[in-house]
Amino acid sequence: MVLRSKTYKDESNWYKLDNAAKIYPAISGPGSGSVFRVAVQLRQDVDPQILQEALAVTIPRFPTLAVKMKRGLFWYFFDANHETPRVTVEKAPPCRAVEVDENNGFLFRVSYFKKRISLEIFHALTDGTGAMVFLKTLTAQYLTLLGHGLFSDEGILDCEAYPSISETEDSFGKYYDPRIKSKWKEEKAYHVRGTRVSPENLGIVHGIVPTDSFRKLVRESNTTVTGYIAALIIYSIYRTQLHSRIYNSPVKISIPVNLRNYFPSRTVRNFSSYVNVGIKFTGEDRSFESILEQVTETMKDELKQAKLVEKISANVNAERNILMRIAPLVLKNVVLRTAYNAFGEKLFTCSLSNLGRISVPEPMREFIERFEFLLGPPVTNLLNSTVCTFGETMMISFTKVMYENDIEKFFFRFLAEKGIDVTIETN
Amino acid sequence: MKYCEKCKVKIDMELTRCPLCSAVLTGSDGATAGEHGTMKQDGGEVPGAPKDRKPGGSSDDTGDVSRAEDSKYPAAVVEAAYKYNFVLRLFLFISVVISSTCLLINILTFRGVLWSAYVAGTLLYVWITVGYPVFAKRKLGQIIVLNTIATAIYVYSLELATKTQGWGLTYVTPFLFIASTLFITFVILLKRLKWREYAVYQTILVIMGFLPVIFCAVGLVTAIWPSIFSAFYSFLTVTGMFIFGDKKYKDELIKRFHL
Ligand SMILES: [Zn+2]
Repeated sequence: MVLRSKTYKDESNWYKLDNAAKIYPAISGPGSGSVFRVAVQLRQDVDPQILQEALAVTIPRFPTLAVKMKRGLFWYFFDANHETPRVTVEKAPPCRAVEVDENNGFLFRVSYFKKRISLEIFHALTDGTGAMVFLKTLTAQYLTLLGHGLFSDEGILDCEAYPSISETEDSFGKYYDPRIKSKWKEEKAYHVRGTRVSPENLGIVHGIVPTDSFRKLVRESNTTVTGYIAALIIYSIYRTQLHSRIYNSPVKISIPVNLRNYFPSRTVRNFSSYVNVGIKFTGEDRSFESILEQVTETMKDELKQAKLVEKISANVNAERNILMRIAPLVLKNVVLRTAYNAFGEKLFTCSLSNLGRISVPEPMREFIERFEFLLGPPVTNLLNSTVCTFGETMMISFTKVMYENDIEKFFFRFLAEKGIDVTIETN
Repeated sequence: MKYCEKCKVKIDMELTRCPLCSAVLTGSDGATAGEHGTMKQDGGEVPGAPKDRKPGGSSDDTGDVSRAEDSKYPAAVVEAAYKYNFVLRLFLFISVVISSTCLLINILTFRGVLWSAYVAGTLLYVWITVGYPVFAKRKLGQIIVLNTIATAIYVYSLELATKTQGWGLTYVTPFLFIASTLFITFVILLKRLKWREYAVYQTILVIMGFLPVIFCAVGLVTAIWPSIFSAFYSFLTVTGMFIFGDKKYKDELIKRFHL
């Protein structure tokens, strides 16, 4: 192992930012750092020293995460970072921007609080699935160092092995179609109204529900977990904010899609797209059931592989446009920031990111209480939501920069009325 | 575990009121005695001072013992990144006062010369070359490149405005480029560990060093030799970079200039 980490240090790896990553440095500032969090709740208090050791062993296995971001004349790029990242005690608020000088130039933060190990990571490095691979490998290493034996499979990478090319590849570049040009034309979405608070006062509301009873409810409605939650968020916004007035802009939920489920990719970098599911309220009363049906239909339609290829190809081809490429970085940042503020989050009302079922090797299960997943504060919207399932615990979380809590209240009360056992936690 | 009768949900925290609807919670375990502070906080359910409160409705600033024991999130809040910079604002205000006063006097006593434009231009030049690097905390390499470009433009504008062609673009600009390139060469020799970063700025300056030759070609200058000299010095520097920097210099260029 000593030998291997030495060869790793000799290499001068560098990476171009992948297609999805390129927007984040341009739109990130102290207010919103494009940071999200995956965390694991263990059964015992975290030992920071052991965690630090585990991190030092784990990080060389993830060369695309062991980087610092540098400015080129035309693009940012990730350059190998040979320092060791530091473990810190968790501070509030969660998902705040990772400062360059905070952690030896690393673009993530590993912290602990009581029984929880949190990985907060800049979205330009990877998406939820990639971050979860890192967190699971780190946790396995931590448990191994505590003397609980070795763990493998279920997405845990072997820290003794050499990183594979398929893990560090830019899958967007691999699976896009150069012939498809951009033609997005999207309608602006309804914007949640509320009193905006500063990102330091980020509010978190977790609702913990039993996986089985929730899945039963979903099955009875002939939909998917994501479809059900998306429909319920739309319904909650409709009932708490729209009432029966007519709105020209639809309530739209932006749902990130893990493209690894559609293409044979094993990358630990970004590889996700999204679908926007919207409902226009035209004055007549809408029942939850009718919304659910429409959302399920739209999702089924949007989640066809051809449509996803179309979407990523449009983005990759826009990025590979010659004018975009030769513009100096300073100019690109201005253009991307302006475009994001003008469209970006205005195209959806709320995002819903479902990380799915997290699996761990069977012997590891007894040490883990649950996994958590959180998004950072939205830039122009007020609220976003995440779902993360581990065994019998399904966590539906809202992250918000608004004071009012009518939407979550309606959401969880609705689930409780359906007979689901809801437990609430807040920050 | 506490319970909210209104929401029909369990609350896994030692709160007295429901974080969703503020109703008083029912359910097991006491510890209510120490929680009067919390109750007071949650009682006033009016959005009067939203900035001081957590959106969830739970209190965060009472720092009571009950929070420390069962809370799911740490209470310590990192300070806001935004800071009010008084000095910056003061200088900005002084600049506006000076340039607008000059403009006013200039207009009231106009004798054919718009001299207040010189004042405003010079102030802008000082802001770009000194103000911006200081307040935005730029790196040395960036400052040198920025100041070289700004000075070249400033000198050329002066030349045009005063209709005294033959000094700026002909002599000042080429020697300015040479001086900046030489300066970065010294910085690289002194800070060898950070050479990669400076090599990029060095490369930009070297490319700029060839510009005076173009000015020659289009007939903007009165004497040719300083421009030739600048291009020659750039050539020597770039050759030196390739010979001493070896493959690492080439790699660094690929990284920094990739399209
Ligand atoms: Zn309640």
